[in-house]
Amino acid sequence: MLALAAQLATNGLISGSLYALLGVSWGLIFATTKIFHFAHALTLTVAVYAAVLAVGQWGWGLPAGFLLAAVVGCLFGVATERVVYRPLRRVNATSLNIFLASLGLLIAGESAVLIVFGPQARDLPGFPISGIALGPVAFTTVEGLWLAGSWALLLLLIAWLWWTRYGRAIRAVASNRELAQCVGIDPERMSLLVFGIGSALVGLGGMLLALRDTVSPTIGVQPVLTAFIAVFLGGIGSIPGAVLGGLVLGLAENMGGLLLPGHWQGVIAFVVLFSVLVFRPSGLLGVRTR
Amino acid sequence: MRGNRLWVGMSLVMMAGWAVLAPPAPAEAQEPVKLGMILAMTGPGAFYGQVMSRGAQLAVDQINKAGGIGGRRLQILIEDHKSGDADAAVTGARKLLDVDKVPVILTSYSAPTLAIQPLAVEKKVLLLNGGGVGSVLVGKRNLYNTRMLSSQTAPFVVQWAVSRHSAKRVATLFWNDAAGQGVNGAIKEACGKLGCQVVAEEPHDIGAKSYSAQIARIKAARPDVLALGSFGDDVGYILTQARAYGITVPILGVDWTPNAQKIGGKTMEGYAIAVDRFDPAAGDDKTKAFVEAYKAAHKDSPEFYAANYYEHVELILRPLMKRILDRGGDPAKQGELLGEMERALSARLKFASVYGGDMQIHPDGTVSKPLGVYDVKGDALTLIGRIVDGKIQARP
Amino acid sequence: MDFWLHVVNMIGLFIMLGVSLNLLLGYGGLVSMAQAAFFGVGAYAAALSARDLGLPFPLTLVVAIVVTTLLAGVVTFPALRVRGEYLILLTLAFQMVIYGLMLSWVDLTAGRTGISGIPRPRLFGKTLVTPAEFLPLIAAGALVTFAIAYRIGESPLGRVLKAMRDDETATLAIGKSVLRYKVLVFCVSGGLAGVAAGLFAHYQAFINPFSFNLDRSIFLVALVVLGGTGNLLGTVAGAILFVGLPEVLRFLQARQDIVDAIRNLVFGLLLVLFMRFRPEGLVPEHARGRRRQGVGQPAPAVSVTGILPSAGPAHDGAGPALVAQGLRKSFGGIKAADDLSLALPRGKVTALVGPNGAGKTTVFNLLTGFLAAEAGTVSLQGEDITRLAPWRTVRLGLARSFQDVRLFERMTVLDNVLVALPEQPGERLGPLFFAPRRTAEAERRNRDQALGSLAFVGLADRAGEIASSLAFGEQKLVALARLIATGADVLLLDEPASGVDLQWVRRILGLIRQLAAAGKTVCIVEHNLEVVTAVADHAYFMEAGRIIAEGRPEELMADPRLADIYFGTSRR
Repeated sequence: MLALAAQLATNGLISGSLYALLGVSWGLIFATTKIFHFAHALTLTVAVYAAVLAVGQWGWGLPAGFLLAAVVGCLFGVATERVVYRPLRRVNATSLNIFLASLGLLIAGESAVLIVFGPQARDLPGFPISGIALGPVAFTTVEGLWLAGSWALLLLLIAWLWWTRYGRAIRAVASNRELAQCVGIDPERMSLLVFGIGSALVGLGGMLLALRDTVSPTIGVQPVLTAFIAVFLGGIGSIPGAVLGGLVLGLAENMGGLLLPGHWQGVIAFVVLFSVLVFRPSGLLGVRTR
Repeated sequence: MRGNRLWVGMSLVMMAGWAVLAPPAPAEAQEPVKLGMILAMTGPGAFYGQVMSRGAQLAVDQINKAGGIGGRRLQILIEDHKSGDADAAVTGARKLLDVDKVPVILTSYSAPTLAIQPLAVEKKVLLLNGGGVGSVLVGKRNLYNTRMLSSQTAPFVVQWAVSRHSAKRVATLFWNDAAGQGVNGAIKEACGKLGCQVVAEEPHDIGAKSYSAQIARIKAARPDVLALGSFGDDVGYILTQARAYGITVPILGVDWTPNAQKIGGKTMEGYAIAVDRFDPAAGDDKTKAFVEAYKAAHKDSPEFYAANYYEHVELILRPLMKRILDRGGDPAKQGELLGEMERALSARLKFASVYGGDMQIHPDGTVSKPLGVYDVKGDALTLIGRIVDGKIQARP
Repeated sequence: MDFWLHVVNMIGLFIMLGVSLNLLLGYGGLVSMAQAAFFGVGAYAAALSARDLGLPFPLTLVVAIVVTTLLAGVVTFPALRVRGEYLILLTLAFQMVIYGLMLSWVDLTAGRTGISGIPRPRLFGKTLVTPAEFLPLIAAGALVTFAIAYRIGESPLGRVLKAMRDDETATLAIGKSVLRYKVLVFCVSGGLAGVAAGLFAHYQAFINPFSFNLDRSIFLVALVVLGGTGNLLGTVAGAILFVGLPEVLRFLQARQDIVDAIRNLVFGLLLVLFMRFRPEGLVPEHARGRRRQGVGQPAPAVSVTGILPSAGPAHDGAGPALVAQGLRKSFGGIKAADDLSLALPRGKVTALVGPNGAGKTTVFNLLTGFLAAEAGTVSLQGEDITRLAPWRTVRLGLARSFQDVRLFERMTVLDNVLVALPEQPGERLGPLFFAPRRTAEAERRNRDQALGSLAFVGLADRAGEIASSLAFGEQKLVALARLIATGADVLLLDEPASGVDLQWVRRILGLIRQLAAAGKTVCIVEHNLEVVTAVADHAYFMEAGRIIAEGRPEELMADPRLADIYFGTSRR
C-alpha cells in the first residue's frame, strides 16, 4: 500500500508539473487580458503539428522541433490576438462574445488542420522511451523530461516575471489594468507580450505531451481544459497559484487511485474544479474579489 | 431587414459554397448495387475507417473490373460515425437506407452498430460487422459479426497463461466498454474453471494516453500475468508504460495492430494474443491474391481490418448476390440479401475466408474462424499455437 | 422520404434544446455549457425507466422532465454565486462530470456501449417506429416547448429575466429577487431540455454518452448565439440552418472524412465573423416588427397624482418615514460609516452633501441592504429593515437609484419602466399559464401606468426605443420613471442631476419637487450645492463617514467651516 501511494504521488507530481506549465501558459493570458482564450488549444495543435511535420517529414532533430513549436506557437498566439481579439475589443464586444469567437476559432482551426493533414493520428518520432526506477517508484524517460522541462520553464518564467521590467509590467496589468495604465504601461502591448509568451509555452507543453501521445487535430482540448482547472483551482491572476493548482490537480487525480479505479481520473479533475468553484470561487491562492 | 437577409444569405452561401469544389458524380449506365458502409472516418478511430473502406473498395474494384456480378456492378457509399457517435450513425444510416436504398450495410464499432440495428430491421437490410467485438452484438436480428467476439477469444488467453506461464494470479486491464468488459468477464469465468485468480481489474477509457494510475494499482497487486482487453493503439501505449513502470510479467491480450506495434516498439516483444488473426504472410491462394492487390493499390500490407471488409464483399456478399441473380432475383432490392443470408445460414452454408479455410457464421450472429495464439517477435506476429477443438496446441 | 423526415425530426429536437438554452442564455443572461448534460441525464432517465422499470411512454417523458428539472434546481445553487467566466467554467465542469459518469458508471449506463432496446412508444394504439410516425409527436413537442418558452420570454417574467441579464444589481434595486428568477429559469430550461431528452431516447431507441458530450453543449451555445439571443425565432432559424442544411451536403460527392470538417470549418468561421460584425445573431432580439411597444401612441396627459401608484402617501403616520441609527461600516481601515444616524422627514426632500469620499453612496447602500451594516439599525415607517435583502426593502417601500444610472440597456425604454412595477401576476408561472386573462388585464393596466410614468418625466414618445440609444440626460429621466414605478414611498436618488446639461437639471429638479409635493419622501445625494439649495428642504453634511452638521441647506452653505471642508480650502 505504501509503495502504491508513493508511486501514485510520483505520478501525480509528474503530471501535476505539466499541468502547472499548461496552467501558467493560459493563466498568464487570462489574468492580463481577461480573455477566456479557449483557442489556446488550437495554438497547441498548430505548434505541435508544425514540429511533427519538421521532425517526422523534413528530418529535423527533436530539439529543433521543440524550438519550432515555441516559435510557431508564439506567432500563432500573437496573430490570434491581433486578428481576432483586438478587433473585437475595438467594437466593445462582451466577454461572452469574445469567448464565443475564441470557441469558433478553435472549431474552425481544428477542422482546417484536419482537412490539411487528414484525420489520422501522427506521432513525434525520435525520443527513446524507457523506464527509470528509483527505489519503490518508477517512471518513464518521457515523464522525467516532463518534470525537468516543466520546472525549468516555470522557474524561468517566474524569474522573468519578478525580476525584469517587462515582467513586472505584466504583473501590474494582471493585478489592476486601469492602475497600470495610469502609470504609463500600455495594456495593448502587454496583451501582445503575454499572448506571445503564453503561446510559446503551450507549444512547448504540447511537445512534451506529444512525446508520449499521438498527435491528432483535437490534441489541444484536453490539456487546455486541464489548464483552466489549474488556473481556477489556484486563483485567477496568481502565477504561483496556477503552479499550485496544477500540482494539486495532478496529485488529486492520481491519489484518487488509492480509492477508485484509474478510469475515474478524468471525473476526479472536474469534481475538484466544481467543488472549488462552489466552495472557494477565488481559488486556493486567489484574493476574494467580492 | 436588408441586413438580416444579407447575413442569412451569406451563411447559406458559406455553408453550401464548397459544393462547387466537389466534382459531380459520374453518370452510370446501369444502376449499380449499392453497398452502404458506416465507419469511423474521423475521430480517434479514423485509422480503422480508412483501412476498412480500403478493404471493401478493393473487392468492389476487382469485381467491377471483371464485369461485375452477373453484369451487375457494385458501388460503395460511406457514411461517417465519427468513431462512435450514434447520432451520426443513425442519420447516415437513414440516408443509406432511405435515399440510396442499400440492401446491406457494413458497420464497425459496437455502439453505432447497436444504434442502427433497429433501422436495419425496419428496412429488412443485412448488417455485417467486422470491427466491433462487444458481446452485446450477439443475437441481434439482421446483424452478423464476421469477427470473433472478444468473449470468444479471451478464454484462450487464460488457457495460455495457465498452461504456458503457470499463472495463479491474473490482472486485467481493459477498455471500459462492451468489448473490454466482455474480455474481463470471460477471463474471470475462465480463471474460475482453470484455477487461477483475478487479483486486479482495471478498466480504462478508450484512447486514454496515460495508464500510470492503473499500472500502479496492478503492480501493487503482484500478478503473474497481465491480460489486456484493450484494442488498437492503446495496446502499444499500455505495453510501453507497463514495462517502463517495471511490470515484468508476461502480458497477453486479444488484439494487435501494426500501429500499436509502432507505438510500443521494443516493449511489444513477447506480447501474446489469442485471435482470429489474418496473416498476410500465410500461403493460401485467396489470401495471396488479396495481399498482392492491396499492396499494389496502397503500397502497404493489408490490415486485419482491411481483410475483414474485403471478406464481406468478396466472400460473403458476392456468393449471396450470385445466388440471388441465379434464381432471377434483384440483389439491389432491400430484403433480398437478408433473406438469402438467412437461407444460407439455415442450410449451414460455409463461407470461404481470407484467413484460410472456411468460416462458419451462426444464426445468433457469431462466427467461428480459424483461431490461433500469436506472439510478437521482432516487429511482427508469429503463430505459436493453433486452437483445435477448444484446446491450444503449441507449435514447437 | 424517411431520411428527410428524420432530418426534420432532428431539427425539431434541436429547436427544443436551443429554445431551452436561449431562455437561459438569451433571456436570463446565464451561459450554460452543460445543456447537453441535462439533455443526456433526461435521455438516460427516460430510457432506463422505459426499459428497466417498464414504464409506458408518456410517463417516461414525465420522468425525464422531472429529473432534469430537479437536477437543474440542484445545479442552480452553486451557480447562483457566480457570473461570467466562473459560470462558464462551473457549467463546463458540471458537463464534464456528468459525461464522465455516463462513461464510467457502467453498471447504470453501460458506459460507451450505450443503452439499446429502448421500447418504442405506443400512442393511441399505434407503436411509433419510423420517422414519419414520430414526426407529429416531435413536432408537437417542439411546438409546446416553443410556446412555453415564448410565453415566458415575452411576458412580464421574461422582462424580469432580461433585466437580470442586463444588470443584476439594478434588478435587485427594483424589487425583484434575482435568486428566485435564476432558480426558476434554470429549472424551466432544464425541464424543457427534458422534453427533448425523453422524445430523443424513444426516437433513437438507442443512446450512448457520445450524444451528450461537451461538443454538443458547445454546438448548442453556438447555435443559439448565431441564431440570435433573446429571440426564439432566431433559434428556430439557427436549428434549420445549422442542423438541417448540412444534411444536404451529404448528397454531394466528396471525401467522407472531410465533409464534417468542412462543415465545422464554416461553422467556426461564422461564429468568429458574427461576433465581430453581427453579435446580435441572425435574428436580433429587437428585429423590426417586434419594436411595437408604445411607438406612435400619443402621450397621455398626466397629472402627478395620476401616475403615482398610491396617490398620496400610503403611510401618513407621524414622524419620519425612514430612520437610521448608529450605522457602522468600514472597508479595510477606512470608516465609510461611523456611528451614523439620520432621519428622512415624510413628504420632504432631504439632501446628503459632503466632499468626495465622505461615504454618501455607502449610506444609500447600507439603508437599502446592498451592504450589510456592522452595527446600527434602519427602520422604514417604524419597521426594522436592517437585515433585509435589497429587493425586500423595495417591496416595503424604499427604493434607490444609481449614480451611473444602470438602465437595462438592451431593453426598450418602456420595458425599463414596466419591469419595475410591483406585484405583476405575469411574473409568476401560475397566473402566466393558468390565468391568462388576469395576466393580460394586469399587463394592460401596467402598461398604461408605465407610459404614465414616462409621460410624467416627458419621455412617453421615446417609449419604443432601446434604452442605450438615449442621451445620458434622458437615461437619468428613465431611471427616475423606473424608480417611481416601483411604487416606493421613500426614494433615494444618487446624484440625480450630475453629468447632465442645465436644461435637464431644471427638469429633473422640477420633477423631484413634484414628487415631494405628492407625498413622496425623497433623499438625494448631490454634489452641486445650487441643486441642493434649489430642491432640498433639509440637508445632512457628511465627512469621513460621519454626519457633522444638519439644517436648512442655506444655513449649511453659509457655514464657513463646512465650506472649507467641502471645497478643501482649509489648511489642515
